[in-house]
Amino acid sequence: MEIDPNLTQVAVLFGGRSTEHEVSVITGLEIVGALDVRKYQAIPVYIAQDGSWYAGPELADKAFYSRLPQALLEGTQVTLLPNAQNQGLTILADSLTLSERVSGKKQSRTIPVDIFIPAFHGSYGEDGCMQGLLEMADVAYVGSGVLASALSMNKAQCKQLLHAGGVPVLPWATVNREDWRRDPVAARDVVLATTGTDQFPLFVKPCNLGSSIGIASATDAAALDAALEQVFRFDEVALIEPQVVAITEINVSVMRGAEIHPSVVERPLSKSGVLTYQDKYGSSGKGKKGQQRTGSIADAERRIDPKDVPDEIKAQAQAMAVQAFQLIDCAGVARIDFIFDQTQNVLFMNEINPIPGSMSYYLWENSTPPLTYTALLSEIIDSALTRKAIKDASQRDSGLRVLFP
Amino acid sequence: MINSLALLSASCGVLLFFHRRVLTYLRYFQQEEYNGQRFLAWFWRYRAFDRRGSVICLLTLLVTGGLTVIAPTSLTLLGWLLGAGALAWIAWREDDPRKTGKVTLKITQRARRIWYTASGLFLGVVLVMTILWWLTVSNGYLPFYWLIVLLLIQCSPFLLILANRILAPYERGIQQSFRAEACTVLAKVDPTVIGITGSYGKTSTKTILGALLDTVAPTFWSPGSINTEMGLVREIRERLKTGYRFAIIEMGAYGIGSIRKLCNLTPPQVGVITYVGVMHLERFGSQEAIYQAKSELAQAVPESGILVCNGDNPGARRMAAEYPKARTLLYGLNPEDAQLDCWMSDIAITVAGTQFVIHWDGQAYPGTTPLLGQPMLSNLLAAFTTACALGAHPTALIAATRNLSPPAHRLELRQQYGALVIDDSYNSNPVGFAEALAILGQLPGRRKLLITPGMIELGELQESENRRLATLAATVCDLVLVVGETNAKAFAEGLQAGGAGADRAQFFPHRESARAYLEKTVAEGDVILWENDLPDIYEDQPSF
Repeated sequence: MEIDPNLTQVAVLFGGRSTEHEVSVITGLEIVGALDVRKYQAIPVYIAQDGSWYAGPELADKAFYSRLPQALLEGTQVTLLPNAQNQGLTILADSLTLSERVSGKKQSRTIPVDIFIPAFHGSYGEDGCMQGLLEMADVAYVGSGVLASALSMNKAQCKQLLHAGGVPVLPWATVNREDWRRDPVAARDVVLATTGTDQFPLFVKPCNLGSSIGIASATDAAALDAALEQVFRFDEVALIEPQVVAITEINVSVMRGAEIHPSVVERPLSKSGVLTYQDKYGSSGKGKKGQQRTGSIADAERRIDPKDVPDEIKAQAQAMAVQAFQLIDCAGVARIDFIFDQTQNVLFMNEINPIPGSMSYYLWENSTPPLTYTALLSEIIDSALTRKAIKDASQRDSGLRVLFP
Repeated sequence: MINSLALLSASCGVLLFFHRRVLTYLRYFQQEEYNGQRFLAWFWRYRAFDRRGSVICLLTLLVTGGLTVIAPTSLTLLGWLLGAGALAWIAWREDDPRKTGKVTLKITQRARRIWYTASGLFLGVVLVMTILWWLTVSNGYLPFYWLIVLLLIQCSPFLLILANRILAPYERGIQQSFRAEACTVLAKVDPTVIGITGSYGKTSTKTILGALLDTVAPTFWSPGSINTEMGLVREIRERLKTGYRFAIIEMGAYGIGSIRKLCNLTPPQVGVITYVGVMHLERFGSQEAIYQAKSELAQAVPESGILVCNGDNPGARRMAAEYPKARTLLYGLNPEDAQLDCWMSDIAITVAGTQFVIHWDGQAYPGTTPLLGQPMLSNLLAAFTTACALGAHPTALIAATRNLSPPAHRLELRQQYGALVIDDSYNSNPVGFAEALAILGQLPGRRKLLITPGMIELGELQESENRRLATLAATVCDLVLVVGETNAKAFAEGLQAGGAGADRAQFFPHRESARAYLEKTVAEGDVILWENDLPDIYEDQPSF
C-alpha cells in the first residue's frame, strides 16, 4: 500500500474474537468508508475469529468477508507488538517479499500508524483488553480507555458505580457460577430475597456479554433456575433484574470531542419488547422497503426523537447519559441505553456501549446541529490525538534511576 | 487404430465408473468398520451387486458385437464410445456418499488410503487386461472385452477388501501409534471416565449426560454416535484437552470383546447400562452373548466405582446384581418399583414438553423438559442418576434439564403455521409411532392432525403393522394426511376400521401436495404430528 506522508495514517481495527465479530466488521468497514480522505489514510485491520491479524486495502471490500476463510490467504498477516517504540503494525515474517526470500535476510517491517480506531463489539475488543494492548504499545487510539471500557462491559460493576454516582438503575442481584454450583437453592434464595428482584418476572443476563445472547426471562423459580444454568454456559456471573412490563427503550449517544455533549434521543423498535440479536442486527430493513439487508445497526428499525416519549424524559435521558459518560470516564463516542417505565413514569439507565454499533452516527446525523459521520470521526480522532499528546507530555519518568543510578 | 481407440474409451469409461462406484461401496465398508466378513454379509443381504453398469456392458456387447458382423468399423467404434460414455454418465450421476445419506462416508486418511489403493489395483488390472486383449484378441472377438469390463465391475467391492488386506500391516502400525498417543493424552488429562453402553439409547444418554455434567465441570463427549476404538482414539487425540474433568465414552458392542477393548483404551470409573436387548441378534448369535458382550463394561468398572443400570430392563438389572460396585444404582420409569434408586412419577405432557417429578435420595424434584416420549425420559433418568452419583446438585440438574433440546426430528416440539408441531420425521417403527400418537393424544389442542407416509422396511409385517397403527391413529386424530402410495391401502383400511371415514382421511401422491393442503387447512390451536416424513427414508436400501 502506498503511504501518503501528508495524511494521518488511521488503522481501523475490527472483527475480533467475540460473538459480535460480524457486526464489528460492518462497523469497521463503515468507518473506513467514512473517514475524511483529505486528512486521513485508512488502513483496514481485520482480526479473524481465531485471533490472527490482517492488514491491507483488500480488507476494505465487503465481498472479502463472504469468501472467508480462503480469502485470508490473500491478506497480509500483521500484529501489534506491545513494545512501546514500534508505533505501527509489524508485518509478520511469514509473508516475505521476493527479495527477502532470495537474500534470505528477513527484516521486520512495519506499517506506520498514527492512530488506531478500535471498532470492536463485545469481548476482547470493547472490554478493555484491546485498549490494554494499545496502551502497552504506547499508541494513540480513539475511544474509552482500559478502565472505562472494562467497567462499561461488566453490567454489575457498571450499575454499582452509576448507582453510587446517583444515576438511577434498576435493582439487581448477581449470582456467581461457583456459588450456584455449590448450592443452587441457596443462590436462588439470595436472589429472591434481594429487594427489587424478589418478584417475577425477572430477566437473567450474562454479566459480561455485550450482545443479547444468553438473555432469558423467568416467570417462576424453575424458569429462573433454568435461565441461570443457561447463562453460566456463557459467563461466570449472572445478573438478575426485574422485568419492566410497560417498557419503552430509549438510547442516547454521547461524544467527547472538544467537549462532552449528547445526541438526539432514539427509540429502537422491536416486536417482542426485548431487542433480540435478530432485531438488532438481523432481518431488519423492513422500514426501508426494497433495501438489501446490510447487517448494519444503522439500518435497524428505530424512531429518532420519538414523539411518544415526553420531552422532559428525553431531556432527562440526555442529562443522565452525559452524567454516566463522565462517571465512567468514557471517551470517543458511546451509546447509553435507557429503560423508561411507562407505568411509573421513571427512567432507568440500562447499559453503556463504549463502542456502539456504527458509532451511533445515525443519531449524530439527526442531532442539532447535525454532524456527518465524517465530521464525527474527525472530531473524535482529533480529541484522541490531543489526549495522547497530553499524556506523552506528562512527566512519568520520575523515580527512575534511583535504585540503579 | 480403431481397435485401440475402442479399447481406450472402454477402459477410461470403466475407470471413471469404478472410481465413483467404489466410494459408494466404501461407505458401507466403513460402516462395517472395514471388516471384510461383515461387509460381505452386508453385500449378500442387500444383494448389492452392480446392476446399472452391467446392463450397459451387456447392451454394448450386443450392439458392438452385432455391428462388428454387419457394419463398418467406424460405426462399431461409435457403439464402444456410447457404452463408455454411458458408464461415465452413471458415474457422474451416482449420489455422492460423502454428502448424501443418513450416515455419510467420512473421508478419513484410512478411507482415502483404501480408496486410492483399490483404485490403483483396479487401474493395474484394467491396464493389463486391456493390453492383453489388444495384443491377443482378433477383431471379431473384440466386443467380448465388455464381458471383462462387466466382471471387473462386479469385482469392485472385493477390491476394497483386498486393498484393506494389503494395507493391514501398515494400518496396524499407524493405529498402534495413534492409540498410544490417545492413551498418553487421556493419562495426562485424567478425567473421570464414564462408559455408556446399551442396545438402545446410548447416544441420547451420552448427549444428555454431557449437557448435565457440563453444569458441574467441563465435560468431554464424542459427537454423534462415535463408539468404536479408532473413532474414539481420533476424538481423544483431537479434542480431549487439559481441563476436562469428565469424559463420557459411548461404547458400542460389535461382538464379544469389543467393549473390553474400549475399556482398555479408556478405563471407566463409572458404567451406565441403558438397555440389554435383542438388537443385532444375528451378529451375536444369542441373547446371552449380547448380555456377555455388554457386561464387559460392568466388569471393567472397578469395585470402588459406580454402576448405573436401567431397572426397567431385566438384562440391565441382572448386570447390576451380578457385578455390584461401591455404588450400584437402578433407575426406572415405574414408581411402584420400590427397588429403584431414582425414578420418575407424575409424568404429564404439555405444550412446553414433559412435566415430571424425579425421586432421588428421599427427595422429590419436580421439573420440565422439552424431551418427549418414554425412551427419552428413560435416557434422562440414566443421565440424572449418573450425574447425581458424581456429585452434581439435583436442583442444578433439574435446571439444566429444562434447557435440553431433543435430537433433531425425533419428537421435537415446535411452533409452525400457528400450530404446535410434533416433529417425529426422522424415522418410524411401530413402537415409536404408537408413542408419538400417545403424545399427540395427550397434548391439548383444537384439532389433532397426523401427516405420514406410514412405516417402511417392516418386511412381511409392513401391511398389518401400518393397518394397526392407522386404526390407532383413528382413535386419536381428527384428520390424517397419508402421503404416497406405499402404505395408502393399509392406511385406508386401518382408518376405516378405527372409525375414521373419508371426512377424516386425505390421501396425497407426494409430500408437497400434502404440505400445501396442510398449510391451507391448519388453524391456530391445532396439533400436528409429522411422522416419518424425511425423504431419505428409502435410502437404507442401496441401489447399484
